[in-house]
Amino acid sequence: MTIEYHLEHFAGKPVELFDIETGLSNVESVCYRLTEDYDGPGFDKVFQAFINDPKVSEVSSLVIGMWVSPENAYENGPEKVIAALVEASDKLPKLRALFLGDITYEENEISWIYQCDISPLFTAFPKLEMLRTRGSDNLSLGHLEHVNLHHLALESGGLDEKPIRQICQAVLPNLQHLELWLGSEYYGWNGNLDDLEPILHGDLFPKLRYLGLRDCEKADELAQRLIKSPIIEQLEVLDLSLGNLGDKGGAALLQLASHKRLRQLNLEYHYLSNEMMEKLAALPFEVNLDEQQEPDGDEPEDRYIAVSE
Amino acid sequence: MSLWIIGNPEHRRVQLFQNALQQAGLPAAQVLSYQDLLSGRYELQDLISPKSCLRIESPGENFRVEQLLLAWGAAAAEAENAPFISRAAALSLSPDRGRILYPRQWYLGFCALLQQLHAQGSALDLRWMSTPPSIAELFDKPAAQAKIAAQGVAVPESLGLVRNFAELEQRMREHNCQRVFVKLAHGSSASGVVALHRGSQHFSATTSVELARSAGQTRLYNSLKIRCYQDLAEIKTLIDALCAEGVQVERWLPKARTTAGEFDLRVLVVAGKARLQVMRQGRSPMTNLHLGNQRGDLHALQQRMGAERWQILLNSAETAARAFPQAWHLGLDILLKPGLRQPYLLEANAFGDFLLDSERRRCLSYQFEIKDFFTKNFLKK
Repeated sequence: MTIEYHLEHFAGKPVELFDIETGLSNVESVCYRLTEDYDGPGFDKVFQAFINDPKVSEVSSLVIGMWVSPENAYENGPEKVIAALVEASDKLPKLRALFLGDITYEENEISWIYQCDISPLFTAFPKLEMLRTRGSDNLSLGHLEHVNLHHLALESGGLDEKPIRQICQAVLPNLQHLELWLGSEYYGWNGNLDDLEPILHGDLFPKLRYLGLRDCEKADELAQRLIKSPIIEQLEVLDLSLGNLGDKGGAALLQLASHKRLRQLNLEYHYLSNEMMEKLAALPFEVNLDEQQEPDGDEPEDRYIAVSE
Repeated sequence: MSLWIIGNPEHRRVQLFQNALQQAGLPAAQVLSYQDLLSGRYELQDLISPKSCLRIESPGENFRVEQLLLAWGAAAAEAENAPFISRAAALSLSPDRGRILYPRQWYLGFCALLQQLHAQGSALDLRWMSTPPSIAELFDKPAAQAKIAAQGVAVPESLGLVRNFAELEQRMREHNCQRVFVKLAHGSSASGVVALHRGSQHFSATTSVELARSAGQTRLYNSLKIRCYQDLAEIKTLIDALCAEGVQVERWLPKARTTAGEFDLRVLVVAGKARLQVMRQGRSPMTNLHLGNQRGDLHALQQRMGAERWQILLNSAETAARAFPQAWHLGLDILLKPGLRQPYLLEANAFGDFLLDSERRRCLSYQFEIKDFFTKNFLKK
């Protein structure tokens, strides 16, 4: 699986492509996506039309797609986009949710998406509540301190340990949703599960209710660690989807039965056996067991995670 | 007038070519083995009448021939200060499956043979399918890519001559380039190819090359498994070892993909015309079919691209082929970036015509090569 489709929904609204002709006509009911296509106007032009639109101060959510022509997508990070957003921040007083990098594999593979230091966004938008990014190469969150951020998600095919470390040192008192796509070592996940310890320890984010450690190449080991980790006590949703979870990890997760707060376990895209799936389905909360995968062979390496390339 | 093949008689290439001759109603070719030629058992003029037609086949996949070619290249490699093995040592090597053995020396030996064939062939007024000099050209990737670029065909940006890892790092910085392909200058079939990525914090090298160390000596092997090296010391060793043999270093461009993986195209050009295309698809940057990759859905791709863009792609292959007018057939590797617009010529292969049908019983290329050659040279039935 690779990322084939653009977002259809973001921050509770349907996503629509921003068209220079029609502008922000539906800004109340729609979330707009700003992007540069192969044959369309350049991103700069699109952004200028957006920021100068009479309704721009109504914008509460925004999706940024390709910030450069797909012909040159590789090796071009979104520095200009960040700078443009920061400069125009007083024109976006209502911006609460931002997606940076809604890019499909036809535009640029996830492991090729080149990011940058996005920390200026946090300083310029203190009222931001939700941030999702796609692409890990060169991504930096800086020294992260933000009062209002409650949803942070880093999508990637292989997450560099730098942003993970920055999250572990972050001050995010209201963070409720933390989602990391760890990815494959082959595609850039140079960390190991030890890097996640500060998060699993539970002291970092007292308001955390959703933890997603998705697309993980060591999902079994991760599951075994999680059930012993204090963080589990406070979670309502645990998301281990898109990874290579097998019966070893599944067996560990059965121990979640005693956790009163947990209401959802997402294991979509997994390598669990039918027997294990039955056992997990009997847990006293909602368990998503869709997309059972067949490994190519008998070795653990024959299982692929969902998103890497 | 008869057709001779210079090749390894036991190889399927020769056998399938004979089948193709038979299918075309032509008599079987006579085969002069590389082993006989290289060991000096025969000279061309001993066996071949003037004005005969000759096909030079790949010398690969025969260990004795590999040893002989290394022996033929020993003096030149030593004179060049390339890594080298003495003639005597080359001739007493034991087979070591997959080992990348002195590719520069091998190339010098192969060129020496091709030069001899060219000289003897001229004296006999022989009709070559692909001439010896054209084959020699195609086995020098940096030179061949430059020739293709000179035709006006888009190629990945070359980072120039790189002699070791330190130079490579510097060159990547100068070109503001995070990802490169490092290939042996004289290799084929994905031998000694590395896709190198400089991430923000460290390097990673994706390759089918296996790095082995024994008795203080570094050895490289071609394996069927793709692996990813993340240790800097290992990566340096790998790159230094390849650079010592001569490498082509170019910007690693992203390939278009479908849900079945990333792909590129092998286009067979015969007598200047694009005749066959194969879509080579898989989950790694090395798309060669023997590395666990598959043939993609070419028809679906053509639909997606549309007739105009498809024709542009074929034209780029034919234009690139014009850089080697004396090569009868060429296997050209073409990359399409996501968006399927601009085609890039990755490589031209002198023996890139071994394209089998789905049952692997027939080589699809040979019928074109024979028919056009017959037409050109009036081979008698």
